[in-house]
Amino acid sequence: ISMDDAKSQGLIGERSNGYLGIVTSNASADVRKLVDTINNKRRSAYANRASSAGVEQSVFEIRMGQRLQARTPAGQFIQLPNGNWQKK
Amino acid sequence: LAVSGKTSTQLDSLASQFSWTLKPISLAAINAPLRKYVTLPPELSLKAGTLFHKGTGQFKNNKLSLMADNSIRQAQIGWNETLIEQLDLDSRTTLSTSGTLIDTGNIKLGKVTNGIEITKVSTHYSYTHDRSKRRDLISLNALSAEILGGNITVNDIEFDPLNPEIATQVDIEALDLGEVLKLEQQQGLSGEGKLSGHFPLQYKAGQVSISNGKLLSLAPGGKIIFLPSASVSAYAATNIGLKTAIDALENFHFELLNIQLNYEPDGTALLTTRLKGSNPNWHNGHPIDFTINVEENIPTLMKTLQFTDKLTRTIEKRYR
Amino acid sequence: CSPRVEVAVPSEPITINLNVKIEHEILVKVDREIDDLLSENSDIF
Repeated sequence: ISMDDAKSQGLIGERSNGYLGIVTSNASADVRKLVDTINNKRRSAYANRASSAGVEQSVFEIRMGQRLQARTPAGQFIQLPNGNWQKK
Repeated sequence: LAVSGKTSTQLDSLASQFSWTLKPISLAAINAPLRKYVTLPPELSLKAGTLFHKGTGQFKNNKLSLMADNSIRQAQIGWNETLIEQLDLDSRTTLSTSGTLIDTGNIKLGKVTNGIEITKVSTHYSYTHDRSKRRDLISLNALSAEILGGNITVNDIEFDPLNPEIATQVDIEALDLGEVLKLEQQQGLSGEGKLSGHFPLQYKAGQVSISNGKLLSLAPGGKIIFLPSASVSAYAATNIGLKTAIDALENFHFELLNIQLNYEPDGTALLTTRLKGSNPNWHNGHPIDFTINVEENIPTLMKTLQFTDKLTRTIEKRYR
Repeated sequence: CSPRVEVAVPSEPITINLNVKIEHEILVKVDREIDDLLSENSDIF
């Protein structure tokens, strides 16, 4: 399953820290694998981008979370600071 | 949607009256379902609060007229990065037989936060939808709020909500210079003093602009203190003009501070600040005539403030 | 007593001019890095 399909089917969504999260509790194994693979790629991308911007990785991740949640289209899920998933 | 109501009809005059009362509605509960019936903008989210609504109507020689009373208590509403808390509204809506809808009332917002905190917002409003002339009009009167330790009042405004164009004047009273300087989040920069003034404000095609706004310090004046970081001092050492200014600002007491404010539609703020005062530890307090021209992009400042708010909240949560 | 005459030396104020352009570089730099990141590997965002 592709990331875009999983997102549009409401299985996964953008968390507030720049990483993907699983929305439904009974997600399949391949959805979990997809999320882990993408998050690992994101983590290494954030590491070197943060250093070239001269900020801590956690600071970079928070700004990334804001940007990714802002560009999430209506109908897909984002995770609120209190942990609940909300459809935009 | 629980509704209770009653109706009565006079057969001779073929007029019927009816009235209805809605059971109080939780705004948070209707936030999602409401979107099936009404096109609510995606940026808007109803988070808390209760809506009370009751009304009466009359149907006579084929003409309908209605009158309803609405009130909202302790509402919390999100609009993108802006959070509105403790919203109270009382309004009366009337629909005349000619089809003109008018809703007038009062709104009070306890706190509006989006990087900067605005409190005690209050205004009287009226919304008119005139079907025959296809004209929509919103007017706001006695709009006031508290911000950065001071009060602002805005002259009455009238605009078409579908194509808003606003020209008004904002009066500011006793803005706290310390709070203003804190917005810059510049290490070592602080100040004291109160500023009052006014500025003409325009809103057109989605952009705000201010031309020739004026702010003046209230007696007895105040002070600006800037204790630069090592890197700033190192840089200043290479530029005599900057070094002089920074030395003077180390403990600058002013009797007079006046700011001329211009804010361009592209978001650039230009402040021309004139200060009259001295620094007791510099040139043994010789009087100084200090001009500081500041240029800053306000939307970027706002994004930075929202970003650091979120940052501190997240870090606080992690280390609590 | 003899009247004391004090001649106040007209002290011209020192004039200082300072131009400050405030760049919120940290956020601007971070946002620029994010823009590049989003355009270069759109498959993981």
